[in-house]
Amino acid sequence: MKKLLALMLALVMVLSLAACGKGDGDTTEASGDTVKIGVLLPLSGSTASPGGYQLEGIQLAVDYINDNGGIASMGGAKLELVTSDTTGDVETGMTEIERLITVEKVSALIGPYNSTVGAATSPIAIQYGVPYIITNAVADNIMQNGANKYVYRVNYGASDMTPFRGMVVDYLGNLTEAGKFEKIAIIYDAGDWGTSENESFKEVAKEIGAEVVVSEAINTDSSDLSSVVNKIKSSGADVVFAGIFLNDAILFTQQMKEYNCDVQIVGSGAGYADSKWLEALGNTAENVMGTSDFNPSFGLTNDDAAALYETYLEEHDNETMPLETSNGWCGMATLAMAIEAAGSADREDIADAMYNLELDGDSLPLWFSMFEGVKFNTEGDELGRYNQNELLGDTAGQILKQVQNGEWQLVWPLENATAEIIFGK
Amino acid sequence: MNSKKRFIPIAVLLAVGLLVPQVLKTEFYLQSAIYVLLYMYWASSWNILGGYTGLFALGNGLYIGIGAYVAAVLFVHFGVSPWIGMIIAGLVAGLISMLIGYPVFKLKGIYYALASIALMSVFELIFNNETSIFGIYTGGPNGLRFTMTGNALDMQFSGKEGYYFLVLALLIIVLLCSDRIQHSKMGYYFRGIRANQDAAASLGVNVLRYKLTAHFISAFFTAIGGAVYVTTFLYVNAKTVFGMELSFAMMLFCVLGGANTLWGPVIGALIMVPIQQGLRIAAGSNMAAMSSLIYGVALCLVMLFIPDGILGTLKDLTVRRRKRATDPLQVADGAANGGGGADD
Amino acid sequence: MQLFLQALLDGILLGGIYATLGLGLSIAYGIMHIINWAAGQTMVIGLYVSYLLITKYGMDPYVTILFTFTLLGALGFVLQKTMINRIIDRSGDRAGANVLLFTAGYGYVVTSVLEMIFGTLSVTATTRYTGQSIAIGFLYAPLPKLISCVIAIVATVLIYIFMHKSELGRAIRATSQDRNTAQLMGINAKLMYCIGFALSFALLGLTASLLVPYYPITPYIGISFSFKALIIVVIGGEGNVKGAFAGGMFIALTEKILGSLVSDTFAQIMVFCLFIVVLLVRPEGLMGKRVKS
Repeated sequence: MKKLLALMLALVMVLSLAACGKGDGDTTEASGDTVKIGVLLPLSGSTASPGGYQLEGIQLAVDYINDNGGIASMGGAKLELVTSDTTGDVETGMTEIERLITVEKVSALIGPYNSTVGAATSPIAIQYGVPYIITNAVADNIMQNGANKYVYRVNYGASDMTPFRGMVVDYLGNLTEAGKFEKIAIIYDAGDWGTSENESFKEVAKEIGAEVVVSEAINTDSSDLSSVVNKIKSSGADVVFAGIFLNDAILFTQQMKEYNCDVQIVGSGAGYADSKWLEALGNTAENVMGTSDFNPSFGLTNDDAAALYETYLEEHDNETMPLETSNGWCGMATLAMAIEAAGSADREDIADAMYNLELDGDSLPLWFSMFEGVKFNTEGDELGRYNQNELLGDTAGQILKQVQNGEWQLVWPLENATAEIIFGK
Repeated sequence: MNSKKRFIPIAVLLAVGLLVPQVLKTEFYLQSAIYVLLYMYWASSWNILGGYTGLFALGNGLYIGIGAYVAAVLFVHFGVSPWIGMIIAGLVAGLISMLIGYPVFKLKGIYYALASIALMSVFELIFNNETSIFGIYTGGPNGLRFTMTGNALDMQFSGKEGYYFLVLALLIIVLLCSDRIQHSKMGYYFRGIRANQDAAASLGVNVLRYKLTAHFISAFFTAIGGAVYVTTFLYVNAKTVFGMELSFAMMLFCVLGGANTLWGPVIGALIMVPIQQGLRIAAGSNMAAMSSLIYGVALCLVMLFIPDGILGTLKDLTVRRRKRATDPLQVADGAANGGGGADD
Repeated sequence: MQLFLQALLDGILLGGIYATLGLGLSIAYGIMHIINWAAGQTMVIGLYVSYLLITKYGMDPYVTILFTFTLLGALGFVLQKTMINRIIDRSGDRAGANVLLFTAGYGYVVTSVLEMIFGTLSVTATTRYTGQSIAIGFLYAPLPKLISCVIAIVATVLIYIFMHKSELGRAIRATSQDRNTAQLMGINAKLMYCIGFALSFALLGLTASLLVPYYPITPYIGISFSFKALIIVVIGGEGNVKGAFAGGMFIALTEKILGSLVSDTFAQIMVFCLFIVVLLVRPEGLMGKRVKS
């Protein structure tokens, strides 16, 4: 009996595992005239909303390129996306990146939006030698893998935002009665990104000499933030900076109103930059501020971009393109330029092309972004980050918006403002 | 049972196990195979406590976490190779399990399960929110990343085969141990405690001592699994290693296959893990929901129709056939294996 | 001071809801001595039902109580009659563990089905009560939380009266105390189990309707509610209306006060630690009767 069982066990095991092993072809990275790009993004879970936006940006770029001749240096080869859902979870992300690399045999990777996933997956890309464009995922540790030619980031990192933060905080501080902020409160998502937000705001506080009276980590998708609201209310803070995701952003804003806490909220990207946030809150959102990047009132790179943006607006009920979409576009466009320069779908060729890539001014492709160009710091910067894009511009494309009469208005930088800020005396 | 014969299945497992990497060349599939073996290993470790001794520890994931962090911290901060680190991790976990086992040993059934989960949750909350514990940096919500050395002496192999064979070896070891326990006096006492703790006590069994032993062995192995798990990922994260998912899965696979049997946990994992991995490829973004659904339905069906798990129920059937045998010891043994309170 | 008093008020408002949540679980445990591991997931079904009624038909959230109460009650009845009773019969004294695992499996099924139907994004119902709050001096009580708490307390009192004064209630309690004797007195124990379980589900439905005006819903929140319900029941004293109420209030106050004074995470850890202490020192709970083993 036991022997039979053992034999059955053995057979089942080999069969089931071998069944998984089917489809284990030895195709090369590009079959004929397509270049496979692996996409890692959260398409479900707490960050599904921004993940979806980012995928849209990447897809738009791919569609645009494919519709306009594909990769010319490869005889018009088309780009093909292979998407996988990381659900925002680290282990899933790590498994998926391996699957994309070893089973799907993609030529390059793009993603993953979540900082924690980025930190965990970047070493894997290096290990297998696959070029990987990091989109969003701003935590600095993602780029601290030592010198390599595989992991690149086109958008800003957390530390790149700090100077901008300093400017915004200074500006807002000037508007208060005291002429500067005395006490600030920070709430942040309890993850890599949120933690770096917290560090960033703390540093800014130190620079302007303000006291951080509340610095509280929020679990993603909290159900009740009344304790934090209560704390902020009794803390005497002049302003609260919130680096949190969509659901928490909605809940927090609502509860601040319920408990009649009138401390000014300044959201930092993510949840506050999501159009769903404004939809959900309606009146309650009045006068809340948020930072974001990419706003078309800055002007787009050229007429083609403007035309494409018009089409985008039509299809999206005139909602401004979210920052995740623009970052996705930029990442993909950069990757496409590298593939174009490499003239092949080979991972090493693309990696080398990225390493030497320089895009600015005329050589910049159609671009939905405020970044001035692309040049990766391959020698490493003072923070020990390698391959971070250095041509981000002064403010890394950051803007400050405020909800007025139910709509977002750009209030800073002043030269691009669409309305006057309502704050302070 | 003839002592030589019963090692045949294990030998077969070893042989098949060694063949698998020859068949599965792609890293992703080999990684899936590693998961299968790892869950078999964990389910078997859980079995010692939950199956043989009947202590339904739903929070044994606690030891995965402890194993993971001890090994991680030893490697990242003190340069101790995970080969040594995992043993230390196992010992630390074992010790903690005995510290825990002592006050909770009176708790029965559901209370014990709840206490075990509560403890695991406390650890999860602490490790997830504090970036340093006792002054040592553990990463908090960002987790802790291992330094990449690529050195096999640091348990960092190039390619997956190394990890595969390591986990295979661990599985064989835990199965041999389980088998040894099953056929020893200790196992006999374990079964007594499982069947009726108070009766065993009144018969002179030192319940506390054996419960603590079961705790120790189970925790020791579970923690080593945790150490190896995070070393393959080069990353440790509180939400995963102290999370309900892993903890519950260990128990689920064991129960499904048949707790209190040697091969039950192996079969349970063998069936469920490939399903989960397969769904990952097939169902795309619905994968998490579909695999949860299948776990849930499987568990419900098992509880409705074969509450002793696959092997447990098969054993029941064979025992009933052998009931006619004259050897009273065998019948008693079979009855105890088939679950307490049976009407044999 | 304001911090503490506001936290106290928030705790009381939450306590009412926790009480009905705990009741939902407590009745099932008290009657059948089995644990429903998926009380939270069951409640989430109620949340979605209520949410749909509000958004599709503009129903008042408190009117949805009628629906969630009955629907979930029916579900509980059917579940008990077709499946759980069967498991209890076949398992002898392993019934507890087997039913627990069954309900755990059921919990997974509920969560995944809900995810497949409703997706993973969080939704919150917007009702005429949303965003409003009543000022009590310098304290604020959000309107939906206040109304929900009042209804919860009323419901708790009604259940208490039902269990202690009504014929059916007494029959249910008799069955829980001594199944065999109750049967000898003509009570259909199996039916009592079904009714009891139905009632427990119905209460979870009620709790859902009370939460829906202000609580963000995703398919995953069930798990933490399940565990919370268990903690409430154990700390308060199982099988006991007074216990569920005491447990609910106690946990809610601890969460809110510690949350405001220190942090939410600290509060959570303390609740778990308290739970463990109670398990070790006084497993019958604050209001439970000491059981000699």
